[in-house]
Amino acid sequence: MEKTGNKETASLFIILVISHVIISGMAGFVQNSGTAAFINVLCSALLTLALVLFCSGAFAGRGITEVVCKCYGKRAGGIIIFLFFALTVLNASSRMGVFADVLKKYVLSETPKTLILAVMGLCVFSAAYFGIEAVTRYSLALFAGFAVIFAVILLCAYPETEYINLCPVFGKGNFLNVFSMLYVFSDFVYIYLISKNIRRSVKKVAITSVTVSALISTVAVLFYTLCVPYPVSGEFEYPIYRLASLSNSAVVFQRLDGLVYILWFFSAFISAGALGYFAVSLFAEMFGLADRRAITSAVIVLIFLLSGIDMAEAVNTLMSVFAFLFVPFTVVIFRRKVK
Amino acid sequence: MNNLFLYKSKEKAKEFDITPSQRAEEIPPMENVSSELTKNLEYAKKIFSIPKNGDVIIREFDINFSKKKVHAFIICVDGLVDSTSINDLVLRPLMRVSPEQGDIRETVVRTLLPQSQLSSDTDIYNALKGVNFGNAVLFIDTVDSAFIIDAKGWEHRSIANPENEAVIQGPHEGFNEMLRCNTALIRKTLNTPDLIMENILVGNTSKTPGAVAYIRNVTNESLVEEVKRRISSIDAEYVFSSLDVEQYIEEASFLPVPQMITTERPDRVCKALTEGRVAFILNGSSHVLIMPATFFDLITSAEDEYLRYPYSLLIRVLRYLAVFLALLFPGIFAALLNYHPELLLTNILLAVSSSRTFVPFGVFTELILMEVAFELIKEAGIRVPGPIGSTLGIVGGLIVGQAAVEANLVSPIMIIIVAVTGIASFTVPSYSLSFSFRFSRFLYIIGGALMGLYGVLSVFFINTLMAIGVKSFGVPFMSPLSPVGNVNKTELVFGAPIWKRGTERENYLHPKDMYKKAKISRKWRQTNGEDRK
Repeated sequence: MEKTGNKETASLFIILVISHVIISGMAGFVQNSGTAAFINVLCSALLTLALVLFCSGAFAGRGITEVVCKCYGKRAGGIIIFLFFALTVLNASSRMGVFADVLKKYVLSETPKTLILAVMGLCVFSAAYFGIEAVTRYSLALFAGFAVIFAVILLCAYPETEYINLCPVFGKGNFLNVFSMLYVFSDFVYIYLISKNIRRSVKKVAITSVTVSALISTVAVLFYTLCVPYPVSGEFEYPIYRLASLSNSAVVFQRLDGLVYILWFFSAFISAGALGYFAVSLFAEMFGLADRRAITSAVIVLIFLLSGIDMAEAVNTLMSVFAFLFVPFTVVIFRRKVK
Repeated sequence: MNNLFLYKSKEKAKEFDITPSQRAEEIPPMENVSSELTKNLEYAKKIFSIPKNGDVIIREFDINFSKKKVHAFIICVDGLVDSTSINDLVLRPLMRVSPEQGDIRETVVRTLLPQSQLSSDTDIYNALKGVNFGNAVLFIDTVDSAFIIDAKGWEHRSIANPENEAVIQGPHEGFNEMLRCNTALIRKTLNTPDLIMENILVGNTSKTPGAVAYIRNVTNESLVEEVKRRISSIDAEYVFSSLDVEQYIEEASFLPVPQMITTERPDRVCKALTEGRVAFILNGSSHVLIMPATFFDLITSAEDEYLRYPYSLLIRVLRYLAVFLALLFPGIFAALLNYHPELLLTNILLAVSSSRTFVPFGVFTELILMEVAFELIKEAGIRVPGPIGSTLGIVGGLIVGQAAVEANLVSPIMIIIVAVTGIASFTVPSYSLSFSFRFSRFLYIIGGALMGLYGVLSVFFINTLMAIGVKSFGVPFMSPLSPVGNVNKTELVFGAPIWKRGTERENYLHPKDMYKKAKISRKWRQTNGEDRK
C-alpha cells in the first residue's frame, strides 16, 4: 500500500460517498422516506460515524490477512479473504454496470453499453495501474472543482425551490428506512477494513470525510426535495441530473447538464477505480504477489465482464451486511483475541 | 566501314554496394609518455591517423636549451585552437628564447609558456584526449611527460536572445553551445561561492563535457546524487545534446508529459537553483536541463517573475484559458455537436448548423482534416527559412483556408475553432508541454467524436491520472497541488506580488535550508519595527 495523506484520503472517501448518494442513491432515499429523505441521509451518516469510531484503532498497523487469520483461523481466513476479493470485484462491476445503464438511458442512447463499459474499464484500469496514491491525489485535486460545480447546480436550482415540498416533514414516518440505505456509506467501512494504511489515521479522516459527505449529501437531497415534489421526485432514477436540467442559465450553454457530467463521470471513475485498485491489491495479497501491476489487466477484464450482469441490489445488500455487521463483529473478536 | 547494324551494349555504370568491412586495427596501448620523442610522435600519428586526418597539425621544432638543440613537437587541431596564441605564446618563446641552464621541464613551465591553464601529464592517451577539445599538447625530447596547453579558440555563437523563450521585460541573455560560457552566465548571475559546478563526462567515446550545477547549502544531497548517478550511468558511445541526456534520464518515456524543464535562459536556471533544484549543462547544447520539474514550473513563463503582479495575473489567467482551449476546445466542440446539441443555446446551435449545411464531411472528419492541415502549416513554417516561413503561414492559413470555405469543404466555424486552438497552443511557455498538448488534443477529438462528453472526460481522466501518477526525480508531477505542499494554492495558481510570496522553499524538494525570504521583505514599510499602514 502506498503512502496517502489525510487530506487525500478524506477527499477519496467523500467522493466515494457522494458518487453513491447524489448520483443514484438519492432516488433510493426519496423512494424510501419521501420528504424526509434528507433526515434519512443524516441518520445514515451518523450511524456510519459511530461505527467507524467504534472500530478505530482496532487493527492498527495490521494487514487484512493478519486480522482475518487471527480472528477466524488460517483456513477460514483464506476463504474470507477470497470473499473480500469477490465482493470488491462485484462491487466495482456493479458500479460500472449502474453507471453504464444510467448513461445509456439519459445521455448516450445510441451507443452500445459494451462500448461505454469498455471506456469505463480503461479508466478503472488506469486508476488501478497508477495506484491508490494517484487516485487519492486526483480526488484531492478535483475536490475544489467538485464543490464549485455542486454549488453552481444548487444555486441555479434555487429559484425552483418551494418550501411546501418539505411537508410532511417526517415523510413516510418509517425510521427503519435508515438501515435500508446504509449501503451508500458501506464503501467507507469496507475500505477501512482492507486498507492498513488508511486505517492508520482513521479517526481524523473518518470524522472529516463522514461529516463533509453527510453535509453535501444532505444538502443535495434537501434541495431535490424542495425542488421536485413528492411523489414525482421518487420517479427519477438520476435526481442530480433532474436538478441540473431545472435551471435555464442561457449563457452559451442552455442547460447545466455538462456540469453534472463532470461531477458524475469523475466521481464514477474515481470510485470504480479505487475499488478496482483494492480488488487488484487483495488478489496480490491473497497470492503473495509482489508486482501488483502485472495482474491489473486480468482483474480489470474480470470486472468488465461481470459488469454486464445486473446485480446492483444484491451487491448493495451484501455490502451493507458486510460493512455494518461483519466488520464490527470482527472488531469485537479481534479485541478479545488480542487481550 | 563500321557495320551500322552491329549492336553495341551501353557501357554499364559501375554499381556500388556497401561491403562489410573490418573494424580498424586497435592501436597498441602506450601508457606513459616516452622520453624518446620519436616514440611519442609515432604514437600521436597513429592515434590521430596522420596524414589521413587533414585538420590535425603536428609541428616539429627545436628548443635552444643550454646551447643545445632539443627536439620537440606540438600537436593541435586546426580550427579548435587559437592559432595566434599558439604562434605568439607557445612557438615563439620556445623557439626564440634560449635559456642557459636548469631543468628543462621547470623552465618550460615557469619561464617559457605564459598560459594560465597549463598542466602536464605522464599518461600519453589522457594528454592527447584533450586535443579534440581545443588543447595543444607539447612533447619535448628527453622529457617523459606531455604539456597540455589550453589554447581553445574555436568559432562559436555569441550570447544572444533566447529564441524560444523571448521576453519583453527581463534579461535578454540566452545560453549558447559553449559549456564554460554557459556556466559563467549562471555563476555571474548567482554570485555565490555556494554554487557548485561538478564536471561530468557523458558518452563512452564522445566524452562530452558537462556540468551538474546546484547550490551547496540549499539542494538536497540525495537529489544531486541521483542526478549524477543517472547521468554517469548513460552507457552510449556518443551523446551530443542535453536533449539526448533528457531522454536517457527521464523516468517515463512513453508518457506525453515532460519530466524536466529545458531552458535557454540563465535567469530561469538561477531561479531554479535557488529553489533547491539541480541543473545540467552539456557542451554543445544551448538547452540546460532543470530537474525535478512539476506542471506549475512548465506552465510558468520566465516573464511572470518580472511583470508587476496585476499584469502577470492577467497573463496567468489568460494562459490557463489558453491551456483549456488548446487541449479541450476541439474535443468538446465535436462532443457537443455530435451528442449534446441540446446543451447549446438555440441561436448558437442554429448558427453552427447553418454554417455546416453544405459541408460534405462529418464534424470529426472536418476537425481532423483541419487540425492535420494546421499542424502541417506549423511544422513547415518552422522548417523553412524565415521570410518564406511567414509567407507559408499566410498562404496556408488565409488563402487555402478561405478557398476551402468557399469550396464548401470546411465550415467557417471550424476554421475559427482550429485557429483559436492553434493560437492558444502558442501561449504555452514550455515547448515540450505544448507538444504534449498537441498530441493529446487528437485523443480528445477522437474521444469527443466517439462518445461525446463522456469520451472527452474519460480521456481527460486518464491523461490527468498519468500526470498525477508520474514522478520527476521523486517529485510528483502535480506537486504541490497534489500531494499538498507548503505553497499557498492561490499563490501557486495565480501568483502573488514578489514581497507577498511564501517565506519558505517548496517542501517537496526537501531543501537543506527552507528559509527563502523574510515575511516582511519590504523593510522600508516598517517604522520602529511596526508595519506602517
